[in-house]
Amino acid sequence: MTFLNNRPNGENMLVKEKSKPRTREDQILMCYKAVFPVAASYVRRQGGSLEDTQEVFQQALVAFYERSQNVMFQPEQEDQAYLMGIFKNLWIKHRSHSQRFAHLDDFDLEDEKNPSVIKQKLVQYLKQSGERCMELLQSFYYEKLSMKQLAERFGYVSERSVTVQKYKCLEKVRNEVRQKSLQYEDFFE
Amino acid sequence: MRTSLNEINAIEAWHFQQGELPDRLLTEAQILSNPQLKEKAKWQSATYDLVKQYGRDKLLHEIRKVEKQLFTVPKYRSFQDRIRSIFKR
Repeated sequence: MTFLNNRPNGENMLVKEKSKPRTREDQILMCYKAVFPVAASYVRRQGGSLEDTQEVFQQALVAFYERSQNVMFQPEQEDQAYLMGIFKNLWIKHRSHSQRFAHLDDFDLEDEKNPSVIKQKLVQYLKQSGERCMELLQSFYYEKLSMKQLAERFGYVSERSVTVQKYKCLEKVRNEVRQKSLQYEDFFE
Repeated sequence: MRTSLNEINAIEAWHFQQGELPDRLLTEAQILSNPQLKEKAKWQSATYDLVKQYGRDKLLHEIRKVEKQLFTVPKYRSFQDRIRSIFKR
């Protein structure tokens, strides 16, 4: 379970160290140590603050993680430079957005960074109504774990049984989304 | 697997463009001609979107936890000093 678990060669290219990090938390820590100081210097030169750097760096890590989970992901640059490239792009968007909407309070902008309030309410509801199913589903669809890894994490004896459970969870959550959506019709328009 | 789970499996393959093309085209034809199945496909797509948001929120929570540790725990003092010096200049 690493950031780059779907790479064809299975290597962690983020930071070249002898010992391979074992958890996602380790990977996040390594990203911070290796790239955050460079990002902070960049933001400082642009007149930004530490808080700006932290906010944008968090978003950059999420974007980097999601791109690295894609089996087609083949960055042309080294990963540190790639992460820094994502950070710079998000920083430019952050600055232009801050300048454009500086005069508006409570502006609800629906984008990758700010999911709609309704979406967040639905996610919260699904978490409360069945956290284990949501955990299982996100492990497969977001973390892209294999069935074998999924069986190990959730204590199933075989890949077959976890596959069936995954579809049962999907059916359960799908029904809950349908029922709950009657209260939030706009989300699905 | 029972019939309803096979149906979910077929919608999933169609949604993510996985598996054999003839199977996906058959599912698509069924979705287009069967209003009930169309509804199920719609809610299943919405579910994938919400699961993604759930996973993203969880990752963001982990990131913030690590960041808090880095900026507060004494064993990361050299990192903290380095960052502080950047913004003191």
